Amino acid sequence: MEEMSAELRPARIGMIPHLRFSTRHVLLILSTAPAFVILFLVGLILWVGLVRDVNSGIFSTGVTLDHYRALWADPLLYRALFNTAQFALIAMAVAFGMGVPLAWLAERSNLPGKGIIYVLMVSGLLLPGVFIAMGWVFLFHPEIGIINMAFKNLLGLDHSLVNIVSVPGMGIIQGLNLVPVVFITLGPSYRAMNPAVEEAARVHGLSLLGTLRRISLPLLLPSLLGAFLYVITIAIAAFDIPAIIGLSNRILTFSTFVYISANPREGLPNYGLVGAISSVMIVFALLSCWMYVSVLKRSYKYAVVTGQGYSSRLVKLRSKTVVGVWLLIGLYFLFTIVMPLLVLVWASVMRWFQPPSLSALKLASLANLHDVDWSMVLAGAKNSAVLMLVVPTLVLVFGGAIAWIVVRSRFQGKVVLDFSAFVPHAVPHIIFAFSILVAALFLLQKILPIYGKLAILIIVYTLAWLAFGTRVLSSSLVQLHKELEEVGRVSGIPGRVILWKILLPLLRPAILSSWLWMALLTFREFTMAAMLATTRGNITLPIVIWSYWSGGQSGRASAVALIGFLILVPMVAAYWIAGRRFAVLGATRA
Amino acid sequence: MIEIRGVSKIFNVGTRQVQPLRNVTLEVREGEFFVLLGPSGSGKSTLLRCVSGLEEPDEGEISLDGRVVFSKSKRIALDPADRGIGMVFQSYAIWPHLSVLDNVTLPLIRGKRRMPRRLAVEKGREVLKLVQMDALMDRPASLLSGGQQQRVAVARALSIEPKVLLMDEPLSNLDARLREEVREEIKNLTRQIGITVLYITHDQIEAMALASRIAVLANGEVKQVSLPREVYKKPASHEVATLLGTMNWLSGRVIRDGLVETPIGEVRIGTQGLGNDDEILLGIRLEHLCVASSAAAGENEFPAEVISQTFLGDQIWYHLRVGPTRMVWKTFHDIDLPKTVYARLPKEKILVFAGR
Ligand SMILES: Nc1ncnc2c1ncn2[C@@H]1O[C@H](COP(=O)(O)OP(=O)(O)O)[C@@H](O)[C@H]1O
Ligand SMILES: [Mg+2]
Repeated sequence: MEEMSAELRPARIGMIPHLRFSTRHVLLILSTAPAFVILFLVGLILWVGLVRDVNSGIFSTGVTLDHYRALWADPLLYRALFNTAQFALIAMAVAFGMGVPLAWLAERSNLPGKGIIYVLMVSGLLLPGVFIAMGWVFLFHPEIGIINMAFKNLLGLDHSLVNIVSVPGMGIIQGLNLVPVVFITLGPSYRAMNPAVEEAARVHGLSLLGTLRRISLPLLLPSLLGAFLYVITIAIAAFDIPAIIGLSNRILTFSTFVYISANPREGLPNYGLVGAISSVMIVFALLSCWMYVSVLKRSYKYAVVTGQGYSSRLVKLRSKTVVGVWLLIGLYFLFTIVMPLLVLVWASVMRWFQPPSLSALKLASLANLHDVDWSMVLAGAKNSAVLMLVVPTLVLVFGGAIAWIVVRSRFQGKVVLDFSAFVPHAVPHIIFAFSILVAALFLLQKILPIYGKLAILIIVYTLAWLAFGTRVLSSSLVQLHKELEEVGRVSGIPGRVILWKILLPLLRPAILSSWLWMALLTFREFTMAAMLATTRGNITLPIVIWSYWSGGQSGRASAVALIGFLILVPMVAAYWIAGRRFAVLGATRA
Repeated sequence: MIEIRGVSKIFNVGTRQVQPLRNVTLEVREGEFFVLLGPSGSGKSTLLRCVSGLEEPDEGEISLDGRVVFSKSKRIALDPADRGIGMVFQSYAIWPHLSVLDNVTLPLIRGKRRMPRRLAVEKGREVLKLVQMDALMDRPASLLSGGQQQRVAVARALSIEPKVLLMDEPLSNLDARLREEVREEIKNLTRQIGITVLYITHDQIEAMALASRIAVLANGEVKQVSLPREVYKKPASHEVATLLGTMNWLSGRVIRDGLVETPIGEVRIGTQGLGNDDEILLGIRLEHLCVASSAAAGENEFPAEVISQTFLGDQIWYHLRVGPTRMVWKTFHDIDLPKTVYARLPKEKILVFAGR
């Protein structure tokens, strides 16, 4: 009987073979739903750039090219784009200038204490940019910056030594902030390079320089180019440093322009203009996305050539070099982490900020902590906590479904899925935030009122981290031989048991570390929250800081930042412990 | 026991189409150790995966134990789990996060059978004993050597008491020494329990050693199905002959019945019934050449020059120049040859194939 009914079951269409009806459909829904929303949000932006007047009707006011014409005419925007280009280029120069040699030193030289570099780099990656930017303002602001004032007094200068309230100034800070990203992106490629190919060149008579130029560089080029495109996307979309440092002084970049256009001090937001410029950005983003993918493909091809089974020979450094290198690394961390944090502590005990001195110390008080609106801080902390629990979990569910379909199935539409999951990686997050804002205000207000709710942040964060989650899971899935699942299927184990008993346990390191990583990203997220966290119901800790900061209350902002920092420390520690325990740090790419 | 009728498979790779199987028809009888031999890329794995149900053919029908498990025309495609098969994968696919015993019992407990744990453990112990792995039952599977993993994979495949055992190059990940040992174990074990085996390999020695029958697959087509001896002695084509070991080749043209003109001179062959002027290909296995230091004035004897020799321990390969071509003579005796020798091609050992 049993056999009869089995035979009568109709043949499945060869889409996703051999899963029962329900499992297959659950997978399809889980993977296509977020992809659909991503594509919808991108499409909505393109539409908003064309609608005559979104405020009076998103579908009823007709289509026009006026907004695109206005792009040329708007001097503010023109300036902002020029600033963005300058800002991004300077940031890239700084980030690569430091990140490339540092990664090389950490991977290919015998520099002692390399482990510490990793710890410092990952911590630098996790420290919210908002904190650091605030610290830099206290240190290097032309009027109030401690270091600038100290030099003015010492040297009797009539102008400040460093002016960070400028596009180059912000670019340098952004660049320093991006060094860990470059470091962590390039590290694995240095590691994966088989020293034997270099040695072969040396043995066959190429000089050291010739080897570098003809062998090492061409081999590394795909990863370098990939890292370049990846980092420049981040630099162009950067929001926290331009917002903290530039916005109050009317120095705008792309992201801050979008921010003030969507949240103008007076009048109605000019959605059309933002839609138009965002559309232009999206086109560029997709272009770089496409380049990134094709570059990545090439680097995979090389990865096959290099293979494993060698022990990396390390380049010996002279002790003088070691001292010099560590001195530089020490200075870097002093200026990018230690001093900004210390000055935040100082600022938080000062009612009105002033440079440290004995007389100022007498004024130190916990007044800021007292004056902070604690109910708001608690609301922010609670919301941040909920987001940190919910968002990474959702990303792993959706990203896992996409990764499985892309890696394992022959589903026709998987290219589209793969692409959509990659889009949030390339399109500036502020554009996503803007798009969901428009959707919430003009399309969903009746059906799904998410404006001002925590849900809007949950949705947009989940979409934003989807690129990361999918990539981590699919790269671990690729490494898992598919026969491990197939043997289960041949033995008659149902799909859901294969998932729980075989796939999840084997993917646990990747799942755990990426979950923690995304929780940390969620905690420090500032860009999208600045656009969307509008009520007590969905304010997050960084936005509490931001609202004090933009309201001119830097002392209270510093106090809340310190509270945030105290929450962050044990979480980063947990991440490190988990990372060591499960021997995974490869996942640490934002 | 296994019937494969007219099975074809096409993969779409981007815009390109790859056809690893073209109208394959095979029958494996009950209790047989059937070996599919073919070069890599010939479609062996694809065929096995079609039998197991991990892949769906685009054309054809497959039956196992008299039951149709796949049929394009009848729209039948049974789940792998419903086919009553055990499978050993090339990578072994041992679940590294489980113990040896759990690797075997997981399919019993959570698979179709849903055995109670106690019975599953008993069964697991039993099959692990069969492959002499019962002593390492509680080891984490990730700590096993290649050979041990292979045994566990076999035990896992047998634990569900399949009607048919499918094996995809199960020895290719082992080192040469171990390979021979495990090969004999597999042979004895499968004979002992009398299971039908469909076994894949690209190694002709492995195929010869194990098979009760061999099917030679090339370019997704079955080229020959025969007893191992027969495949070796009477390969159906030039292609099959090459697959079964290195050979000396001569192209030629038939002058008259039994006489062929070749680059090294006229060669007499035993094959009858060829038309005059037919283009043909003559092959002779390395060990079938007869080489002597003096001429015996026999049939098909040609002067040759020794170019070099390769010492392989139990055998020696002499590289000869015979006329304008090169030939290799394989011998098991270490002898001193003069520079000039005489090579004889015994008429009855020459294989004749249609030329290109
Ligand atoms: N999933 C697949 N997608 C596309 N092509 C495939 C796939 N599996 C196998 N092929 C192709 O089919 C041919 C036969 O492969 P396979 O059956 O694995 O050969 P074998 O096992 O004999 O080495 C090869 O050309 C291979 O590239
Ligand atoms: Mg194969």
